Order: sequence, then C-alpha cells, then structure tokens
Amino acid sequence: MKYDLPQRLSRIADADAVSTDTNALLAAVNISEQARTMVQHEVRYTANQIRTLADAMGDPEDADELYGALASLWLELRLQWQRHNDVANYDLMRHGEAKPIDLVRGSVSSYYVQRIESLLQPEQTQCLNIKALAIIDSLRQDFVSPAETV
Amino acid sequence: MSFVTPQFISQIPSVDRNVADAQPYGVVQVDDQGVIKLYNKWESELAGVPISTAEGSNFFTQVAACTNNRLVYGKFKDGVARNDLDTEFNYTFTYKMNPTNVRIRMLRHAPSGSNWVFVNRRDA
Repeated sequence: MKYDLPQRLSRIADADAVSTDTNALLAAVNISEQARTMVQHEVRYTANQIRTLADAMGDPEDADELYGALASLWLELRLQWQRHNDVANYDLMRHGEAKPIDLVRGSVSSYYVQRIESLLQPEQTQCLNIKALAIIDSLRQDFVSPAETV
Repeated sequence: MSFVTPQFISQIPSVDRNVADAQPYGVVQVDDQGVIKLYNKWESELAGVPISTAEGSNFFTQVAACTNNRLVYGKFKDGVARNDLDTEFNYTFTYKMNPTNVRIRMLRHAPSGSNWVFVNRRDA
C-alpha cells in the first residue's frame, strides 16, 4: 500500500476547504468583526501547523514519527477544545451567556479533531479518546488547589 | 417551566423506545455511572451519534464529551450519590458541531433508581 499520510494530512488542512468550513461555523453565532478576524487567523495558523508537520515528515521512513506527532496534535486540539468548552459553559452558568468567540473556538478545535480522525482507524481514535479522558480525569484529581485541601 | 412535561415525567420509569422517540427533545436514560441504556432518535440526530453506538457507552465521557465537567457530570454524580437529582439549566454544545444552545434537565427517579437526561434546543 502506498504511503500517502503526509499528502492526506496536508489535504485536511487545505486553506480553501478550512476557510469555507470556518465561515459556516462563524455563521452560527452573532460575532463581532474583530472576533471573526481573530478566529480566522487562528484557523489559518493551525492549518499551517498541520501542513508544516506533513512537510517535515514526508518520507515513508518517517511514518511512525508522523503518526506519533499526529496523535500528539489530536490530543493538543482535544484538550484545547475542552478548555474552550469549559470557558464557554462556565461563562454561561455564571453570567448567563457564553462569548461567541469561545463557542466558535470550541467548534473549530473539534472540527480539526474530527478532520484528523478521518485519517485514523476507528481503534486508533478510540485509543486516543481513552487516553485523553484518562489525562483529563487524573489531572482533575491530582491538581486540586492547596486551598481546597485544607 | 420545564420543557419536559409532567405527563412525561409521570411515565418514568416505564418509558420505552417508542415513547422516548415520540418526544420533541432528547431523552437519554443512564445508569448510575452514566452508561446509556436508552437514547432516543431526537438526541441521536442532534449529536450525530447512531443509537447503536450510543447505547452502552458513557453519556458524559464518550458520547456527549461537552458534559464531562463539574457543571454537568459533577452535578449528576452528586445527585446520584444523594439519591436526589432534579436540575435544569442552559448549556452549549460545540463538539464536532456548530455552536448549539441547549437546555438540559437531569432527573433521578428515586423510587426506581433510574436516571434521565433531557436535552432541548433553545434560542440564544
């Protein structure tokens, strides 16, 4: 089987496709022009990071390394989504509304998570989800603030 | 006033798939750990998760990852531990979807020990 992960990875970060999909996410919320520009910049930055990764490890002998890096990237974006989700919903709970930019950032992070998963086998995705949950759960338990333990 | 009618609540715990699927909002029955026992059609369509995939998976950690925090899963665990849970609140879903405003009600039916999560769309 031909090794084409770098090409497929570059495709999921295709600037035009990502831009179109981001505009659809932005259309779902009432967001300021400044926030919209900021999100579009962040989206392009992430897409560029993905293409850089694909370019850096483009040879078949780099496959193991690239899969490992892809898993790390998935985890990074999954945790990023978790943070945006928590910020938006804590804001909603405390102040009655969530900031549109946090909502879109959450959708964008998970959009990339989903794009990366399209390159993986279901059992690889399941493995990543299990590891992400384990990390989140253990960090919650292990990093209780000193004030709360008194 | 809750989007879940008292008439529907009165049918708990004998809500079957047909009754659940007939509701114009999400109906999810979970065990004390959060594992899904019943997942209705409305919820499946909102989340884009097939019923066959959802049932048997953990609602809070595997199916609705947005709810895996103290605001939702924490409330659920506390309520189950107290054998007293009936709370309704606004929430937003963003995982692999457009930002979606929802209202969530979580209810424990103490006599049967069954737990229910209801989800409805709301305007921003």
